[in-house]
Amino acid sequence: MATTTRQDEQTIIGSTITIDGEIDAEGPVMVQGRVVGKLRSAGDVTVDEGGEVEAEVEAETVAVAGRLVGQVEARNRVEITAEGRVTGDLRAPRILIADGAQYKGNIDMG
Amino acid sequence: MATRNTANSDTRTEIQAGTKVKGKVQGSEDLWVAGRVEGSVELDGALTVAPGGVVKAEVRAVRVTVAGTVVGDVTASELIELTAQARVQGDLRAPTVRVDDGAKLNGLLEVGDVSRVEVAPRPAAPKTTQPQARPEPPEAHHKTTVTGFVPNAVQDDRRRKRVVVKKRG
Repeated sequence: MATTTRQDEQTIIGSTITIDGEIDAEGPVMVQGRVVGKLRSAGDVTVDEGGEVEAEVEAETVAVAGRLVGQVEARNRVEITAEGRVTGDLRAPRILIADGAQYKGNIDMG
Repeated sequence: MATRNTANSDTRTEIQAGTKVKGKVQGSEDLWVAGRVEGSVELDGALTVAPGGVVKAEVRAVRVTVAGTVVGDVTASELIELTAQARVQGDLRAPTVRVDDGAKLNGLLEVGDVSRVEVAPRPAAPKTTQPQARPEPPEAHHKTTVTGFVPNAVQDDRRRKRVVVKKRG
């Protein structure tokens, strides 16, 4: 499945924004602010540095450079960068955890 | 990764077409909606509903520009603009309201001194159509009822009154 991340088609939750509820996107989502609840995307979800997600996350690829608390399900992969802090169970065929990343939870790679 | 939104100089939140947000949206930056937002929106910034965008929410913001569809009450501390493509069902309150030729509005329009308007959060009151439930406007307030709020009639497009307050100038 090709996930072309066209910058102009990306849903962006800016750094001062808090969304308490559900997000359901056909395209990629970038979180620089705060999302609480549920976050689903047919594309990729990126939690940028400074971004905070306390939600069930479901996406093609989930990349975390910020903070994420919740269950994560990725159809392709989960990626936690060196700045990323993740608490919660991960389910994905591929999981990348960079040196310096913080993670706690169960991992299910199928 | 960590791609910043470089297309816009300042930080702006963008809800693209195909993205649905349900719940409470709060923040102090501009919000641009080409997708769908349901619930409530409280912004210390500008809300833009792009063509094709749908906002079904109570909206409080500094400026609100509608080129899509809004269902719900909108309060702006500075300005509300309805472009020719705008479809709005709900009450609008702002010191300045601009309505372009072609825009459709069903609801109460309050233009003028809305000094009582604050962007600060307020307790969510259930929407009521009873006029006495509305707060009394200040004396200098210029209140205009554009179309009577006839809940049964608003679904019928042909019976909708076309509202032209001011042509694009």
